[in-house]
Amino acid sequence: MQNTKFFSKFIVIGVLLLAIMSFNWDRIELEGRAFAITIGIDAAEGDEAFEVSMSIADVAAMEGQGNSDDAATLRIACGESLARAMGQIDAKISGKVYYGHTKAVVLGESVLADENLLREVVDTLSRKNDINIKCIVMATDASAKDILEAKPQEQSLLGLYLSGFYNNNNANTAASVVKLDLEGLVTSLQNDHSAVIPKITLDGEGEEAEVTISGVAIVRDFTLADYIPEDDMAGFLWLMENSAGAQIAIDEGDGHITFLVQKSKVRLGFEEAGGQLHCTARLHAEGSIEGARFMDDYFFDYQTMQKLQEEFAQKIRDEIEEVFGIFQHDFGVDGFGLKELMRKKYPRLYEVYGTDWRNTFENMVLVADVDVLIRNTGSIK
Amino acid sequence: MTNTAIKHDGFALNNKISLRQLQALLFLEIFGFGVTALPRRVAESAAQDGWIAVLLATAMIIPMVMIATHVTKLAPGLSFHDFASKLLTRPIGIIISLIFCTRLVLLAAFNLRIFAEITRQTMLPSTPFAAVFVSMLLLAAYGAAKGIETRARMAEVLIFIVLLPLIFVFGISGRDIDFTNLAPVLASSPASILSGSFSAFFAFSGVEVLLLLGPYLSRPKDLTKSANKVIITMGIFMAIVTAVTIARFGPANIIHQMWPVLKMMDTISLPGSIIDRQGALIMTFWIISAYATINAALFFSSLLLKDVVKRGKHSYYILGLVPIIAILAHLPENLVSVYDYFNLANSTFGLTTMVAIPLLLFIIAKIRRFKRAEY
Repeated sequence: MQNTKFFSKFIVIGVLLLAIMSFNWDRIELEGRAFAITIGIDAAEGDEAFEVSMSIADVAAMEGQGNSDDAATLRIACGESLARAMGQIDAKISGKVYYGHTKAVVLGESVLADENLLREVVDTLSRKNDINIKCIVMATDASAKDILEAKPQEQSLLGLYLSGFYNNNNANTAASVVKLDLEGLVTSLQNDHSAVIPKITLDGEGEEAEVTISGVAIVRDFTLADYIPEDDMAGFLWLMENSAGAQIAIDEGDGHITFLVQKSKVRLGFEEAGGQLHCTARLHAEGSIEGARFMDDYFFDYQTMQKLQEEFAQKIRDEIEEVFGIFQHDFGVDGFGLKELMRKKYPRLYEVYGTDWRNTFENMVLVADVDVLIRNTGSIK
Repeated sequence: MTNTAIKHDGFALNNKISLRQLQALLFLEIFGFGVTALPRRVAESAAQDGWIAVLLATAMIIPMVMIATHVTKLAPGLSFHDFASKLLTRPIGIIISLIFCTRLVLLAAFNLRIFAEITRQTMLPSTPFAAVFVSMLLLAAYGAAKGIETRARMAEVLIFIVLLPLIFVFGISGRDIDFTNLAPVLASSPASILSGSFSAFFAFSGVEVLLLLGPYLSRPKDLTKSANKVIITMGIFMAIVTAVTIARFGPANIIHQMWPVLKMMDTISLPGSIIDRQGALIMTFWIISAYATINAALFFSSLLLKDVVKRGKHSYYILGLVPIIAILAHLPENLVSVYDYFNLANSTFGLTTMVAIPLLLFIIAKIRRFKRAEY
């Protein structure tokens, strides 16, 4: 019995001691943490491969104990590999860099244009255990460093601004629809060696410069192919699962009529016809009239309503066909996840067409079937 | 070992556990360790049909459970070693007991190493391996030294602490799951699914302790039914966890995740949460499961050694096994080696203890018409 008691005491004291020591080994005070909120990655000039810019949150300033304009400090370091460049930042600052709260990663054009650099970036980031795979990934045609240096108007931290932007803008712009996180980038590159990355640009110069989310960057074979501007991307959001919040305007008489989508459903599918593969996009959109010319009473008349619905549907159809054509013929990049859709839902067709997907995608025929329903006309007739 | 019930702190100390306690123990010992890497392992072979492979593995393990429990019920009062010695002569009984012991020691060592690796990567990056090893081993040894009843009562409490976070995690992760990732169903070849189920079969590692439980059951008669119930429940749980994890990450992505079930939690953002990442929740499940597996391995291997040597208390053997397990856990150079050794141990000692030994004992007992009355 005495032996057992000694054994018990020995173990309890041993475990307690180790727990206390472990607390000491891994003790990090909040002040000792450097929270990397946004990471910018560019190709470096000279011998080094990467230049990493890191926006590190000043916790005291964020808590209101300092100047809120200085809520973050920008740290820049270069390295022969991405991991080394990130490590260099750690070596430069007093705190320990923590990536668990990283909200966004911005990839500069120089990285996107180099297959080797881009592949290293994706591998290094997804290998890093404390990086949240849900952090947003953005591309820029400028340098990522310049983007991180600019401050968004409402929010001094770019990462938090981007996070808020995507939470609050469901489908106002195509760029907001094309939300890409680190996990999505990895999956997309794994599936098709391509990706559609939302683009962030810099408007203006110097301290007045502002960041804008607009358009997308197309990566094909792990390399930047080109950018698609916001205007050409209008049709993209119609092919997304939910385009509620999207607006579309048509010319009518001497004015414009704007339609706001409140509910939508798109069904993508495939069928073979005449020895050719057809991709079918069946979209049903419901919503309300947001604006027209004052005193133009279009909406009294059932026939006119039908005509307007058909005009909206035609415009949506045109936009879908335009953006599909850009992806299909200009880039040969399946930005709509059609390959995965076919693999999952049309396994027999996938056996035939899935092996040479790029060729399949470039030669498939799009059949867009759009149906618009105007549910209401706002507060006035 | 005495069957005389004595009272101590309000609990009967008679070295017997109820079948409900047995179920809790089995669930804790097997489920946690098996499930963390399971979705990746089955997806490597069977892709999106991995969950079917898990169900198939469950169907494969059930006959083995029935055989093992049948063998256990043949001599409920005898220890495994005594039973094997009686059936197959003492030298062979010693060899079988030592094979069993080695299997359990290796299971504890690899479990400990993987536990330490996960702890280092997710929570304590600067704490030395040795500290993590020793803390876990000492705690597991303490629990094992206290005997089967203490372990059983502990399991009854811990099972809720394990299950609740798991159900919570998989419940809230449902918002962000794309179940089309499980399509097309049954697209993998039968050979791939079978290969996946072979991997999944070893997720039930630890089920062989059913052979060792004979002397500790209050109602051995219902052992088969109870064991089958818990194994089927566990198999269904594992299949659900696998399906949800594959649906979450997709079959192409999941094969690159080291521990996809643990990664699940990191991808969830709770609405209104002030904490950005909820990894701690799933770590609760993982730590307790690792503890239960190591604790069980220590307990049963020390009992086997005690029965073979026929001297001293089992707690002395635990003290001897602790450094051996710590050294074995430290031996593999890296995680890749750990999993290589683990696979090797599974396909040798694992298959021997989970399939060959129960079958051998069952067949010999049948041939010799061994019945309960014989001892």
